[in-house]
Amino acid sequence: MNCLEVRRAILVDPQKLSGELLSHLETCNACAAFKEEQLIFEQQLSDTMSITPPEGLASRILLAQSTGQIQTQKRQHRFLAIAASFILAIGVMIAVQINPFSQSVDQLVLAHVNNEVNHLNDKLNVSDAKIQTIFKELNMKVSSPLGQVNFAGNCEMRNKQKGAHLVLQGKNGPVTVLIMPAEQVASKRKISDPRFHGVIVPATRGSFAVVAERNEILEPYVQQLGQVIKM
Amino acid sequence: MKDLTDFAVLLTMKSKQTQFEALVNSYSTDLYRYAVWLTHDHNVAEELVQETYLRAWKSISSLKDSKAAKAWLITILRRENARRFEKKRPESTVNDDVDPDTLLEFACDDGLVENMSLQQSLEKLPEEYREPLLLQVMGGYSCNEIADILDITSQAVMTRLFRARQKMRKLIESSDNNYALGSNR
Repeated sequence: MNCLEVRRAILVDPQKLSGELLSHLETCNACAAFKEEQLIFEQQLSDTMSITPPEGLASRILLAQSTGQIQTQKRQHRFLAIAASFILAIGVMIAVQINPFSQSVDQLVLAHVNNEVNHLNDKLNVSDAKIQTIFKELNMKVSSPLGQVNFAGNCEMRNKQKGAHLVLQGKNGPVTVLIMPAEQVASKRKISDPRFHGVIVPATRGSFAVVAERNEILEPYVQQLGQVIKM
Repeated sequence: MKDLTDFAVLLTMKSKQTQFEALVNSYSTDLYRYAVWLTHDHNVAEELVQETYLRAWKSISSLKDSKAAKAWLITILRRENARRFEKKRPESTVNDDVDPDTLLEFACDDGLVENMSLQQSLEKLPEEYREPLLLQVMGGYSCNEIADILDITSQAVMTRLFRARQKMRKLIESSDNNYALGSNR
């Protein structure tokens, strides 16, 4: 067996390894280390899967068996779910009506870029020191240079929350980066309007957005920013 | 652990009711865990487990081999879960974009992963890969037994297990490496 076959077998079932495979592990330190690492991973995986069941689960199952009560519970759950959805919908409608900050993060980002579209023409060649100062305002720092930065400044995003606005020199044109420590998003999402497309990326503190015209590929900038921007 | 609980179930199978109670006491925890990972919702998981046992109760006389009890219950649970999606089952998002040749890179991975990122990775794993992994790690089943439960070939089980672990490593790597805005890493 070669190393590739051994590791494939370990990933199929790290707990049941053949004699031939064990012989290989005796002579190959790298594969032995791989196996040890995988066994630790398996223990963590097992711990993660071991969800604690709710108290009294077995009793409720036996009760349902003797009374057929589960159907009643289901109907009750459905009724409560519908009622909760209705109340939530009304709440959202009221919030949209009365909250001036009800704009979504997607809209916020696109509106910010369009409102400050003049920065796309800047060619200020901002220094690394200036960029560090801007990030320091947000209690963040940049671990390595971002390349050519044509504009950089701090700005208010909404609710007087501070952010940073950068325009990088992209492959095909300007690439806007918005750092938004106060804007949370649940997952990475794409945004677009007739002119721009972008992506909003969740981060440990808030999120950041990368926006450019549609002929620009964004993922390299997302990767780069995710790696170099630190607290 | 699986053999011991099977044996315990065998000993207590004296009547239909005691048989049923033994099944509940022995396997409801494992079934609940499995259901949570299938449904991602604790309330739905409990309902699913209760539905499963009600179905099991109705057809308990068809259970002849106590050693197959847990697998039988899991099969019922999977069927009940599938019923929930009969009209709106989402399509699988499986995308086998992981190159087996990257295996050797794993030896260079440093450190161990945290439980939270493991949980997130497990949640992100397509169901097609997550289920065999759950059955193996949580249920202690062999590839052949998993093949019977999922009604696929043993070879397919091995492929899915391999890819499941490979994808989890990839997911954890990417969650560790990317989007560290504001972190100290």
